[in-house]
Amino acid sequence: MKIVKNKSNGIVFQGDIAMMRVDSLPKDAKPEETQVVAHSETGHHHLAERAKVFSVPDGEVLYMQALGKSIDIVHKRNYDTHETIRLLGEPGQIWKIRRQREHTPEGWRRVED
Amino acid sequence: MTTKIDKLTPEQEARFPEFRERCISNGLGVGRADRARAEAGAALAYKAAGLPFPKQIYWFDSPLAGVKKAAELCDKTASDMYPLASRGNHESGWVSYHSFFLEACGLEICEPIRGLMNVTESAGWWWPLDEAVVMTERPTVIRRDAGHRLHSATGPAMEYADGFALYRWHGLEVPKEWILNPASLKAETALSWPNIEQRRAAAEILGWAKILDALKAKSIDKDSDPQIGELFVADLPDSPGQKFLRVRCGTGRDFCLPVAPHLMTALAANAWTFGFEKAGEIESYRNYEVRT
Repeated sequence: MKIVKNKSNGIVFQGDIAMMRVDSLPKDAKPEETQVVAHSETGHHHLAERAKVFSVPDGEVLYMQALGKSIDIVHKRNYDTHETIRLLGEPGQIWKIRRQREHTPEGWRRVED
Repeated sequence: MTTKIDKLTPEQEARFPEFRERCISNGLGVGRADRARAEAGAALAYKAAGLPFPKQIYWFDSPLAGVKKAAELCDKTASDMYPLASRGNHESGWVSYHSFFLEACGLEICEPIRGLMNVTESAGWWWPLDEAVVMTERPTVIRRDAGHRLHSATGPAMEYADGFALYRWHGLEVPKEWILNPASLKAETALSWPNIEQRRAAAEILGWAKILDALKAKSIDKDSDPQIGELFVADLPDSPGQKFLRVRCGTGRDFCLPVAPHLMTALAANAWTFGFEKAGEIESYRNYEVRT
Protein backbone atom coordinates (compact mmCIF):
# COMPACT_ATOMS: atom_id res chain seq x y z
CA MET A 1 0.00 0.00 0.00
CA LYS A 2 1.19 3.50 -0.88
CA ILE A 3 0.54 6.24 1.67
CA VAL A 4 -0.18 9.83 0.64
CA LYS A 5 0.53 12.20 3.54
CA ASN A 6 -1.92 14.72 4.92
CA LYS A 7 -1.71 18.11 3.16
CA SER A 8 0.28 16.72 0.20
CA ASN A 9 -0.38 18.81 -2.90
CA GLY A 10 0.73 16.61 -5.83
CA ILE A 11 -1.67 14.67 -8.04
CA VAL A 12 -2.32 11.05 -7.05
CA PHE A 13 -2.78 8.50 -9.86
CA GLN A 14 -4.15 4.99 -9.82
CA GLY A 15 -4.35 3.55 -13.31
CA ASP A 16 -6.75 5.69 -15.32
CA ILE A 17 -7.88 7.96 -12.47
CA ALA A 18 -6.23 11.12 -11.09
CA MET A 19 -7.10 12.56 -7.69
CA MET A 20 -6.33 15.95 -6.16
CA ARG A 21 -7.33 17.75 -2.99
CA VAL A 22 -9.77 20.62 -3.38
CA ASP A 23 -11.18 23.06 -0.83
CA SER A 24 -14.88 22.52 -1.35
CA LEU A 25 -17.60 20.60 -3.14
CA PRO A 26 -19.32 22.34 -6.06
CA LYS A 27 -22.80 23.57 -5.14
CA ASP A 28 -24.45 21.22 -7.63
CA ALA A 29 -22.65 18.06 -6.36
CA LYS A 30 -25.05 15.19 -5.76
CA PRO A 31 -24.30 12.30 -3.34
CA GLU A 32 -24.12 8.87 -4.98
CA GLU A 33 -24.94 5.49 -3.47
CA THR A 34 -21.73 3.89 -4.66
CA GLN A 35 -18.10 3.40 -3.73
CA VAL A 36 -17.08 3.09 -7.39
CA VAL A 37 -14.95 6.03 -8.49
CA ALA A 38 -14.01 4.46 -11.83
CA HIS A 39 -16.29 1.94 -13.48
CA SER A 40 -14.59 -0.71 -15.60
CA GLU A 41 -16.36 -2.53 -18.44
CA THR A 42 -14.52 -5.69 -17.44
CA GLY A 43 -15.55 -5.37 -13.79
CA HIS A 44 -12.19 -4.13 -12.52
CA HIS A 45 -13.54 -1.07 -10.73
CA HIS A 46 -11.61 1.38 -8.61
CA LEU A 47 -13.34 1.82 -5.24
CA ALA A 48 -13.08 4.51 -2.57
CA GLU A 49 -13.33 3.03 0.92
CA ARG A 50 -14.45 5.26 3.81
CA ALA A 51 -15.57 8.03 1.48
CA LYS A 52 -18.81 9.54 0.20
CA VAL A 53 -18.84 9.85 -3.59
CA PHE A 54 -20.47 12.81 -5.38
CA SER A 55 -21.29 13.41 -9.03
CA VAL A 56 -21.73 16.72 -10.82
CA PRO A 57 -24.04 17.43 -13.78
CA ASP A 58 -21.33 17.66 -16.44
CA GLY A 59 -20.41 14.04 -15.66
CA GLU A 60 -16.72 14.45 -16.47
CA VAL A 61 -15.41 14.53 -12.93
CA LEU A 62 -16.40 13.05 -9.58
CA TYR A 63 -15.76 14.22 -6.04
CA MET A 64 -15.32 12.29 -2.82
CA GLN A 65 -15.35 13.33 0.80
CA ALA A 66 -13.39 11.53 3.53
CA LEU A 67 -15.60 10.04 6.26
CA GLY A 68 -12.60 9.69 8.58
CA LYS A 69 -8.89 10.44 8.54
CA SER A 70 -8.13 8.36 5.45
CA ILE A 71 -9.60 7.02 2.23
CA ASP A 72 -8.33 3.82 0.62
CA ILE A 73 -8.44 3.67 -3.16
CA VAL A 74 -8.65 0.00 -4.10
CA HIS A 75 -8.43 -1.57 -7.55
CA LYS A 76 -10.60 -4.67 -7.81
CA ARG A 77 -8.55 -7.00 -9.94
CA ASN A 78 -6.59 -10.01 -8.81
CA TYR A 79 -3.86 -9.70 -11.46
CA ASP A 80 -1.97 -6.65 -12.75
CA THR A 81 -3.50 -4.87 -9.78
CA HIS A 82 -2.88 -1.18 -9.24
CA GLU A 83 -1.52 -0.93 -5.70
CA THR A 84 -3.92 0.38 -3.04
CA ILE A 85 -3.40 4.03 -2.11
CA ARG A 86 -4.23 5.41 1.34
CA LEU A 87 -5.02 9.11 1.21
CA LEU A 88 -4.46 10.71 4.62
CA GLY A 89 -6.21 13.91 5.62
CA GLU A 90 -8.70 15.50 7.96
CA PRO A 91 -12.24 14.09 8.14
CA GLY A 92 -14.30 15.89 5.52
CA GLN A 93 -11.38 16.41 3.11
CA ILE A 94 -12.69 16.78 -0.45
CA TRP A 95 -10.95 15.19 -3.42
CA LYS A 96 -11.64 15.75 -7.10
CA ILE A 97 -11.36 12.71 -9.36
CA ARG A 98 -10.64 12.81 -13.07
CA ARG A 99 -10.71 9.90 -15.51
CA GLN A 100 -8.20 9.45 -18.32
CA ARG A 101 -9.32 10.29 -21.87
CA GLU A 102 -8.02 9.78 -25.37
CA HIS A 103 -8.40 11.44 -28.75
CA THR A 104 -10.66 10.24 -31.54
CA PRO A 105 -11.37 11.84 -34.90
CA GLU A 106 -14.76 12.90 -33.45
CA GLY A 107 -13.27 14.49 -30.32
CA TRP A 108 -12.20 12.80 -27.13
CA ARG A 109 -13.61 9.87 -25.23
CA ARG A 110 -13.04 8.32 -21.88
CA VAL A 111 -10.50 5.47 -21.82
CA GLU A 112 -12.29 2.09 -21.60
CA ASP A 113 -10.79 -0.81 -19.74
CA MET B 1 -26.11 -31.14 18.19
CA THR B 2 -23.96 -28.14 17.26
CA THR B 3 -20.20 -28.21 17.53
CA LYS B 4 -18.46 -24.90 18.00
CA ILE B 5 -14.72 -24.58 17.50
CA ASP B 6 -12.65 -21.51 18.40
CA LYS B 7 -9.36 -22.56 16.89
CA LEU B 8 -7.80 -25.26 14.79
CA THR B 9 -5.59 -27.98 16.22
CA PRO B 10 -2.04 -28.26 14.83
CA GLU B 11 -3.13 -31.49 13.09
CA GLN B 12 -6.03 -29.70 11.39
CA GLU B 13 -3.81 -26.81 10.29
CA ALA B 14 -1.29 -29.28 8.92
CA ARG B 15 -3.95 -30.42 6.44
CA PHE B 16 -4.20 -26.99 4.73
CA PRO B 17 -1.79 -27.96 1.90
CA GLU B 18 -3.74 -31.16 1.22
CA PHE B 19 -7.03 -29.25 0.82
CA ARG B 20 -5.37 -26.45 -1.14
CA GLU B 21 -3.83 -28.88 -3.64
CA ARG B 22 -7.05 -30.82 -3.93
CA CYS B 23 -9.06 -27.65 -4.55
CA ILE B 24 -6.65 -26.23 -7.15
CA SER B 25 -6.19 -29.47 -9.08
CA ASN B 26 -9.93 -29.97 -8.99
CA GLY B 27 -10.63 -26.46 -10.28
CA LEU B 28 -8.14 -26.96 -13.09
CA GLY B 29 -9.45 -30.46 -13.77
CA VAL B 30 -9.89 -31.59 -17.36
CA GLY B 31 -11.24 -34.76 -18.93
CA ARG B 32 -14.49 -36.66 -18.83
CA ALA B 33 -16.81 -36.27 -15.86
CA ASP B 34 -17.47 -39.05 -13.40
CA ARG B 35 -21.13 -38.92 -14.30
CA ALA B 36 -22.38 -41.44 -11.74
CA ARG B 37 -20.72 -39.54 -8.89
CA ALA B 38 -21.89 -36.17 -10.22
CA GLU B 39 -25.51 -37.34 -10.49
CA ALA B 40 -25.40 -38.86 -7.02
CA GLY B 41 -23.95 -35.58 -5.71
CA ALA B 42 -26.69 -33.60 -7.43
CA ALA B 43 -29.35 -35.88 -5.90
CA LEU B 44 -27.82 -35.31 -2.45
CA ALA B 45 -27.85 -31.53 -3.01
CA TYR B 46 -31.56 -31.61 -3.88
CA LYS B 47 -32.20 -33.72 -0.79
CA ALA B 48 -30.30 -31.23 1.41
CA ALA B 49 -32.47 -28.47 -0.04
CA GLY B 50 -35.63 -30.50 0.64
CA LEU B 51 -36.54 -30.72 -3.04
CA PRO B 52 -37.58 -33.73 -5.14
CA PHE B 53 -34.83 -34.87 -7.51
CA PRO B 54 -35.97 -34.59 -11.15
CA LYS B 55 -36.16 -37.74 -13.22
CA GLN B 56 -34.66 -36.12 -16.29
CA ILE B 57 -30.89 -35.52 -16.36
CA TYR B 58 -29.24 -34.00 -19.45
CA TRP B 59 -25.50 -34.08 -20.16
CA PHE B 60 -23.66 -31.69 -22.49
CA ASP B 61 -20.06 -31.23 -23.47
CA SER B 62 -19.70 -27.56 -22.54
CA PRO B 63 -21.23 -24.89 -20.31
CA LEU B 64 -22.36 -23.07 -23.47
CA ALA B 65 -24.41 -26.06 -24.58
CA GLY B 66 -25.64 -26.46 -20.99
CA VAL B 67 -26.81 -22.87 -20.60
CA LYS B 68 -28.69 -23.07 -23.92
CA LYS B 69 -30.53 -26.20 -22.80
CA ALA B 70 -31.31 -24.68 -19.40
CA ALA B 71 -32.68 -21.57 -21.14
CA GLU B 72 -34.84 -23.71 -23.45
CA LEU B 73 -36.24 -25.73 -20.53
CA CYS B 74 -37.08 -22.60 -18.51
CA ASP B 75 -38.24 -20.50 -21.46
CA LYS B 76 -35.60 -17.88 -20.64
CA THR B 77 -32.52 -16.53 -22.39
CA ALA B 78 -29.01 -17.92 -21.94
CA SER B 79 -28.08 -14.59 -20.33
CA ASP B 80 -30.84 -15.16 -17.76
CA MET B 81 -29.58 -18.65 -16.98
CA TYR B 82 -25.84 -17.90 -16.92
CA PRO B 83 -25.83 -16.40 -13.39
CA LEU B 84 -27.98 -19.27 -12.14
CA ALA B 85 -25.32 -21.85 -12.96
CA SER B 86 -23.72 -23.92 -10.28
CA ARG B 87 -20.17 -23.96 -11.55
CA GLY B 88 -19.09 -27.50 -10.77
CA ASN B 89 -15.33 -27.84 -10.60
CA HIS B 90 -14.95 -24.10 -11.25
CA GLU B 91 -16.47 -23.34 -7.87
CA SER B 92 -14.02 -25.53 -5.97
CA GLY B 93 -12.64 -22.36 -4.36
CA TRP B 94 -15.49 -21.49 -2.03
CA VAL B 95 -16.64 -25.08 -1.62
CA SER B 96 -13.16 -25.96 -0.29
CA TYR B 97 -13.79 -23.95 2.90
CA HIS B 98 -16.76 -26.14 3.67
CA SER B 99 -15.04 -29.37 2.71
CA PHE B 100 -12.16 -28.50 5.05
CA PHE B 101 -14.47 -27.88 8.00
CA LEU B 102 -16.55 -30.92 7.17
CA GLU B 103 -13.75 -33.40 6.58
CA ALA B 104 -10.82 -32.08 8.62
CA CYS B 105 -12.80 -30.65 11.54
CA GLY B 106 -15.93 -32.81 11.51
CA LEU B 107 -18.33 -29.83 11.60
CA GLU B 108 -21.71 -31.35 10.87
CA ILE B 109 -23.18 -27.95 10.01
CA CYS B 110 -21.30 -28.28 6.69
CA GLU B 111 -22.93 -31.63 5.90
CA PRO B 112 -25.62 -30.17 3.55
CA ILE B 113 -22.83 -29.02 1.23
CA ARG B 114 -21.59 -32.58 0.62
CA GLY B 115 -23.69 -33.14 -2.49
CA LEU B 116 -22.43 -29.94 -4.07
CA MET B 117 -18.89 -30.90 -3.07
CA ASN B 118 -19.22 -34.20 -4.86
CA VAL B 119 -20.35 -32.45 -8.05
CA THR B 120 -17.42 -30.00 -7.91
CA GLU B 121 -15.12 -33.02 -7.78
CA SER B 122 -16.67 -34.88 -10.67
CA ALA B 123 -18.19 -32.52 -13.31
CA GLY B 124 -18.33 -29.05 -14.80
CA TRP B 125 -21.06 -26.40 -14.69
CA TRP B 126 -24.63 -27.55 -13.97
CA TRP B 127 -28.12 -26.16 -13.65
CA PRO B 128 -30.36 -27.65 -10.96
CA LEU B 129 -33.89 -26.94 -12.24
CA ASP B 130 -37.35 -27.95 -11.02
CA GLU B 131 -38.12 -30.48 -13.74
CA ALA B 132 -34.64 -31.48 -14.90
CA VAL B 133 -30.95 -31.30 -14.13
CA VAL B 134 -28.60 -30.01 -16.81
CA MET B 135 -25.04 -31.19 -16.23
CA THR B 136 -21.92 -30.57 -18.29
CA GLU B 137 -18.46 -31.94 -18.86
CA ARG B 138 -15.22 -30.32 -17.77
CA PRO B 139 -12.89 -28.69 -20.32
CA THR B 140 -10.66 -30.95 -22.37
CA VAL B 141 -7.70 -28.56 -22.22
CA ILE B 142 -6.65 -25.61 -20.05
CA ARG B 143 -3.57 -23.56 -20.90
CA ARG B 144 -2.07 -20.91 -18.62
CA ASP B 145 0.91 -18.58 -18.39
CA ALA B 146 3.62 -18.55 -15.72
CA GLY B 147 1.37 -16.31 -13.59
CA HIS B 148 -1.38 -19.00 -13.74
CA ARG B 149 -3.70 -16.86 -15.88
CA LEU B 150 -5.54 -18.40 -18.81
CA HIS B 151 -3.28 -17.83 -21.78
CA SER B 152 -2.24 -19.28 -25.10
CA ALA B 153 -0.48 -17.50 -27.93
CA THR B 154 -1.26 -20.30 -30.39
CA GLY B 155 -4.74 -21.63 -29.67
CA PRO B 156 -7.64 -21.66 -27.21
CA ALA B 157 -6.74 -21.16 -23.55
CA MET B 158 -9.67 -23.40 -22.64
CA GLU B 159 -11.41 -25.94 -24.86
CA TYR B 160 -14.40 -28.20 -24.54
CA ALA B 161 -15.21 -31.45 -26.35
CA ASP B 162 -17.92 -29.83 -28.50
CA GLY B 163 -15.56 -27.15 -29.81
CA PHE B 164 -16.57 -24.33 -27.45
CA ALA B 165 -13.34 -22.48 -26.71
CA LEU B 166 -12.04 -19.40 -24.90
CA TYR B 167 -9.21 -17.27 -26.23
CA ARG B 168 -7.19 -15.41 -23.64
CA TRP B 169 -4.01 -13.33 -23.68
CA HIS B 170 -2.56 -13.41 -20.15
CA GLY B 171 -6.03 -13.67 -18.69
CA LEU B 172 -7.63 -11.10 -20.97
CA GLU B 173 -10.37 -12.03 -23.45
CA VAL B 174 -9.23 -11.26 -27.00
CA PRO B 175 -10.80 -11.91 -30.44
CA LYS B 176 -9.91 -15.42 -31.49
CA GLU B 177 -8.52 -14.24 -34.85
CA TRP B 178 -5.72 -12.43 -33.02
CA ILE B 179 -4.55 -15.76 -31.61
CA LEU B 180 -5.35 -18.12 -34.48
CA ASN B 181 -4.23 -15.82 -37.26
CA PRO B 182 -1.94 -13.13 -35.85
CA ALA B 183 -1.14 -12.03 -39.41
CA SER B 184 -4.71 -10.69 -39.61
CA LEU B 185 -3.96 -8.28 -36.75
CA LYS B 186 -2.89 -4.98 -38.27
CA ALA B 187 -0.73 -2.35 -36.62
CA GLU B 188 -3.48 0.28 -37.00
CA THR B 189 -5.95 -2.05 -35.24
CA ALA B 190 -3.48 -2.52 -32.40
CA LEU B 191 -3.35 1.24 -31.90
CA SER B 192 -7.02 2.07 -32.33
CA TRP B 193 -8.97 -0.86 -30.83
CA PRO B 194 -11.69 0.65 -28.55
CA ASN B 195 -10.87 -1.26 -25.35
CA ILE B 196 -7.50 -0.14 -24.00
CA GLU B 197 -6.67 -3.46 -22.32
CA GLN B 198 -7.32 -5.37 -25.54
CA ARG B 199 -5.37 -2.69 -27.42
CA ARG B 200 -2.42 -3.35 -25.11
CA ALA B 201 -2.77 -7.11 -25.70
CA ALA B 202 -2.83 -6.52 -29.47
CA ALA B 203 0.33 -4.43 -29.19
CA GLU B 204 1.99 -7.20 -27.18
CA ILE B 205 0.93 -9.85 -29.69
CA LEU B 206 2.31 -7.83 -32.59
CA GLY B 207 5.27 -6.30 -30.78
CA TRP B 208 5.87 -2.58 -30.42
CA ALA B 209 8.84 -2.44 -32.77
CA LYS B 210 6.79 -4.05 -35.53
CA ILE B 211 3.85 -1.68 -35.00
CA LEU B 212 5.94 1.48 -35.05
CA ASP B 213 7.83 0.19 -38.06
CA ALA B 214 4.69 -0.84 -39.97
CA LEU B 215 3.13 2.58 -39.43
CA LYS B 216 6.43 4.42 -40.04
CA ALA B 217 5.79 6.15 -36.72
CA LYS B 218 8.14 8.96 -35.78
CA SER B 219 9.11 9.75 -32.21
CA ILE B 220 8.44 13.42 -31.43
CA ASP B 221 9.45 13.53 -27.77
CA LYS B 222 10.57 10.97 -25.25
CA ASP B 223 10.35 11.84 -21.56
CA SER B 224 12.98 10.50 -19.13
CA ASP B 225 10.12 9.16 -16.98
CA PRO B 226 8.54 6.09 -18.66
CA GLN B 227 5.31 6.82 -16.75
CA ILE B 228 5.17 10.11 -18.66
CA GLY B 229 6.02 8.26 -21.87
CA GLU B 230 6.99 8.84 -25.48
CA LEU B 231 4.99 10.80 -28.06
CA PHE B 232 4.75 9.44 -31.62
CA VAL B 233 3.11 10.57 -34.83
CA ALA B 234 1.92 8.14 -37.52
CA ASP B 235 -0.32 8.20 -40.59
CA LEU B 236 -3.28 5.90 -40.13
CA PRO B 237 -5.56 5.17 -43.10
CA ASP B 238 -8.44 7.25 -41.73
CA SER B 239 -6.42 9.48 -39.43
CA PRO B 240 -3.32 11.03 -40.99
CA GLY B 241 -0.87 12.68 -38.57
CA GLN B 242 -2.39 10.85 -35.59
CA LYS B 243 -0.41 11.34 -32.39
CA PHE B 244 0.06 8.59 -29.82
CA LEU B 245 1.40 8.50 -26.33
CA ARG B 246 3.10 5.25 -25.41
CA VAL B 247 3.15 5.14 -21.66
CA ARG B 248 3.95 2.74 -18.83
CA CYS B 249 1.27 2.35 -16.19
CA GLY B 250 1.73 1.73 -12.46
CA THR B 251 1.56 -2.03 -13.01
CA GLY B 252 4.57 -1.93 -15.34
CA ARG B 253 2.69 -2.54 -18.59
CA ASP B 254 2.94 -0.35 -21.69
CA PHE B 255 -0.22 1.22 -23.08
CA CYS B 256 -0.90 3.40 -26.07
CA LEU B 257 -3.29 6.35 -26.11
CA PRO B 258 -4.25 8.42 -29.16
CA VAL B 259 -3.87 12.09 -28.16
CA ALA B 260 -4.84 15.47 -29.60
CA PRO B 261 -2.86 16.65 -32.65
CA HIS B 262 -1.67 19.95 -31.12
CA LEU B 263 0.41 18.26 -28.43
CA MET B 264 4.19 18.52 -28.85
CA THR B 265 5.69 16.89 -25.74
CA ALA B 266 5.08 13.62 -23.95
CA LEU B 267 4.48 15.55 -20.71
CA ALA B 268 1.83 17.80 -22.26
CA ALA B 269 0.23 14.75 -23.91
CA ASN B 270 0.13 12.79 -20.67
CA ALA B 271 -1.33 15.79 -18.80
CA TRP B 272 -3.89 16.23 -21.61
CA THR B 273 -5.17 12.67 -21.11
CA PHE B 274 -6.27 13.75 -17.62
CA GLY B 275 -7.63 17.11 -18.75
CA PHE B 276 -4.72 19.28 -17.57
CA GLU B 277 -4.13 21.73 -20.39
CA LYS B 278 -3.10 25.10 -18.93
CA ALA B 279 0.62 25.97 -18.92
CA GLY B 280 0.93 26.11 -15.12
CA GLU B 281 -0.92 22.82 -14.73
CA ILE B 282 1.37 21.00 -17.11
CA GLU B 283 4.55 22.03 -15.28
CA SER B 284 3.21 21.00 -11.87
CA TYR B 285 1.89 17.80 -13.42
CA ARG B 286 5.35 16.26 -13.40
CA ASN B 287 5.52 16.50 -9.59
CA TYR B 288 2.89 13.90 -8.95
CA GLU B 289 2.56 12.35 -5.51
CA VAL B 290 2.09 8.71 -6.33
CA ARG B 291 1.28 6.60 -9.37
CA THR B 292 0.19 2.98 -8.98
